[in-house]
Amino acid sequence: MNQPPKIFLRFLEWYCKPRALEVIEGDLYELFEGRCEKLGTRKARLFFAWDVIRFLRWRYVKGLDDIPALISLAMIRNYFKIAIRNLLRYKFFSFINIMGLSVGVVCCLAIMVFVKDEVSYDQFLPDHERVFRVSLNERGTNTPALLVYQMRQDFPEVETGTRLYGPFDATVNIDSHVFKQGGAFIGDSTFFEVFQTKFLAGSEEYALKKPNSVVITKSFALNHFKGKDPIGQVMKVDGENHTVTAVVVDCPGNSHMQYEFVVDIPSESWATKGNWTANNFISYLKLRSDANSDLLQSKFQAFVEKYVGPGLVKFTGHSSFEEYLADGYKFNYHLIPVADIHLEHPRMSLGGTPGSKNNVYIFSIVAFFILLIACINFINLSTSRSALRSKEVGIRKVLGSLKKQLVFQFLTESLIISGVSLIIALGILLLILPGFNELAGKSFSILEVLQVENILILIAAGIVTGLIAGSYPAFYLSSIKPIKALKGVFKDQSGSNFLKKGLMTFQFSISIVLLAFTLIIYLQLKHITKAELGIAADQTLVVKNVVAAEKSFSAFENSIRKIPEVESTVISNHYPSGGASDWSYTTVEDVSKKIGPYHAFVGAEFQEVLGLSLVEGRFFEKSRALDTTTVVVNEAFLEEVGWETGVGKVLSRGNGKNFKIIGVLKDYRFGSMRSDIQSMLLRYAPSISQPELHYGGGHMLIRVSKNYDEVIRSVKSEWVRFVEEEPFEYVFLDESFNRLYGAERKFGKLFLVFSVLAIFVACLGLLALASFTLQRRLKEIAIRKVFGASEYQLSGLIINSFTKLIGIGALIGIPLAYYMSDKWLENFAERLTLNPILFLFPIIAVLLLSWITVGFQSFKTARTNPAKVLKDE
Amino acid sequence: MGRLTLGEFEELVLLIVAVLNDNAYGVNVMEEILKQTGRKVNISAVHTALDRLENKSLLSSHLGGATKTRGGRRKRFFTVTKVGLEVIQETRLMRDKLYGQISSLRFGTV
Repeated sequence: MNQPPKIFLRFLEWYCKPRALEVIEGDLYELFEGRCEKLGTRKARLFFAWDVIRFLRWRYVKGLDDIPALISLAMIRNYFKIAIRNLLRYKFFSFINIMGLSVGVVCCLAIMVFVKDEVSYDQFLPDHERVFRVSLNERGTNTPALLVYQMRQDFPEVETGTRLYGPFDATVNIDSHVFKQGGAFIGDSTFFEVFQTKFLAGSEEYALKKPNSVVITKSFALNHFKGKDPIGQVMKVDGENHTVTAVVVDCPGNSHMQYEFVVDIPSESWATKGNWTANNFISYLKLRSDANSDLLQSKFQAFVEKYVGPGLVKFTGHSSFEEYLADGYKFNYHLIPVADIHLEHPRMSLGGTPGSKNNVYIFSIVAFFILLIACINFINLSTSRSALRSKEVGIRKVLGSLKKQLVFQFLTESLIISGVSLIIALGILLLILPGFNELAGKSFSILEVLQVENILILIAAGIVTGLIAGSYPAFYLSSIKPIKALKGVFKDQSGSNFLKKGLMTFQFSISIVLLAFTLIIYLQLKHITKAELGIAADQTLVVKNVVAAEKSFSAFENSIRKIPEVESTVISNHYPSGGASDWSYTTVEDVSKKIGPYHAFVGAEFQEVLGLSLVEGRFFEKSRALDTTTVVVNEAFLEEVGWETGVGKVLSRGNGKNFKIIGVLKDYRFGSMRSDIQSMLLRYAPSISQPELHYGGGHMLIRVSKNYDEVIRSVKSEWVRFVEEEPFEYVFLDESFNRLYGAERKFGKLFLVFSVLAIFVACLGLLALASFTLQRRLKEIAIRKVFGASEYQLSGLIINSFTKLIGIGALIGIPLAYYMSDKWLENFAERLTLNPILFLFPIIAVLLLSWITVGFQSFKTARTNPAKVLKDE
Repeated sequence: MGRLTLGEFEELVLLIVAVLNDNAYGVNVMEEILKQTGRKVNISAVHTALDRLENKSLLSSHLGGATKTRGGRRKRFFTVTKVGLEVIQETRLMRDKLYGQISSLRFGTV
């Protein structure tokens, strides 16, 4: 016999009012049967489905009065009452559940706020999807001065664009108050067309159009123009007068660009004309709303050939741009959406904390695992308690409880626990917010955390957590056969025991992975800060911007050298760990090679001050004026070019400017340990008037023998004597090197916090489970004791059962930890060698912790008088 | 009794139920409409109209016995109530009155 489509029949039964259902079904059946004969089954089924849909009318859909009274208000009230009674009755278990879940939720919530912030970078910008950064070969941050101008001329897709330079530390002078200010930018007049913001005072239109103007942020204005109207005020930026034309709101925390003030671009030739091979500016384009960025991108190679090609070819000695590309070189501009900069191109960040996609992933996963550990506690404790509550379930069933009602009962309990945990978690988060901000390098306010969206997600998460954590016990307990439960033959089934043990093993392996990884991070950080630098970093003091003392420099220099603890000094536009620019040279030989080493201008005493040793040749000498046409390179340079020896070889800067290598330095560290030592080339700066010292700020490197604090005081007093409009800025090289690893250190700290939390929650679970196991084995232990077992043997018995689980957890966890650590260490050129013994420490730590947790309780149980326990029956 | 409004379709269903004379239920009414007027209507529309008319107390209903066909479901039979008959009467009188006042020229057959 033909049947109508079942799914539609079900659907009808689901939505239709019971009163009307029978008649409607009957009619539909009758029609179906008739149509089967006339039109065939297939069509009849189609008609049936259509009719069911047509009956979906207000009049036939179930209303409130049709829902069976299973979940009546009285029942709900009863669920709550019983749930709360149970929570209060087993205070210890409730406390551990709530505590564990709260910690898990705090981690999740904190990380959610963090991740949401990380992925929201630069999206506050109006039309951010049309704003692009132009990069050179996807990595180069800077571009030629003429790029934006020429692109606006050549490509109709470009609506506007801006060049900028920054962020740099400027020396600011307001009413003779001189200070260093970071976050200074130089920008085109179109700056605020691309980076639209709110103007609080002054005119947006003329903001950067007038020569020597400056736009400041609100907080800068409040800090430095106290109580005055800043508009029209004059402030000196690096010695030049600028008039404040406007005040804008502060950069939001989730902006990749953090400016304190923006001054207009000077009209000097390097800025107005520039050179297509000199990359001095950062460029941004804003496209028209109908422009296709991929299409625009595809036009860039031709653009490069037309404008950059001629100069490039002349420099490298190729006959055409095509030949240059055919030689395997790459040269193209790329559009990077502004919202991608933070996470995808952290190198291009302009003063904002560079993001890390990996960290976002890693911390999301870690938060999830901590919550998981807490959920596992909950599941384990509830299933363990099921033996205690099986009698209750049996009685309820005998008295007529439906399975559904029992499930509701248990779910209510778990939802109450997760609800209470949520509230506590929120409270904890608000309390620890300042600490979290410091740890994560953010500045979240309480209001930001309490956004409606976050609260909604939190509530949803709480419900899901409660349901997941509560569902296993709920369904498991509610399916107990009442007779068995009441007879008392009910036991932990081997299935649930296996699950419990499996989950615990899982908890331990997560704890061990986190602990091991934390340990590796710490050891690696220690390794790189202790690693051989090749220079006397802790003895070298850097005084920045000594060009400010140019007028009477030799007097200044002499007075510094007279300080007894000062061994020697040198001028340089670079100091190790302080970064350096790369310049291109070509080798002068039959087949010339292009090389772009890091580059510095240094005085003759550079070798002496840093304690560098030469592999061959000599260093610059004061007595030889012609040393300005010579260079000193390091071993890495020779290796990159492929030379056995260096002395006597010649390098060219183009235009017939040739430099002879006179010495090769033994490799020393001048950058982070993340990469190998790069090739370095030193040029000779005979005096402070060397122009290059004025670009990057000329520094003085001072070799100090002892009494560091005193030396700083003496140098400062000399500085004040010789320099007027420049604050005294100094750093010791070892500190400066340490600062290179700030991100890693922060990462390590965050990880430490998380692994401690994870282990804490896991131990809470262990504690509860152990005390529960002890309770159930009380009689067994007493009987064993009667038969002569010692207290230590009995404690060992309990401890052993947990130790096995930790062992298995370690077997799973260690390979994972090894893999993770190995991946992470790939970020460093100077890396720790992973010794397998290292991984024993986290295992031992977890073992000890669990023994302490369990041991105390089991020993106490083992010591109780067996008569007390056994007399009950 | 307040002012009763009858939709065109409702009036049709009312008349059909009257015509079917104690043997009116959903499918039957739908088929009779097709037979008498050639109009194809969905069964859900018929049910809705029947329910409305019952609410307006123009129809009354009772459940029939179960049979083997219709998946064992019972039928709901509809009969026209006294009020229903009055309404049919009333509507007819009003129609006739209005027809009488239309000039025969208007029909344009002469």
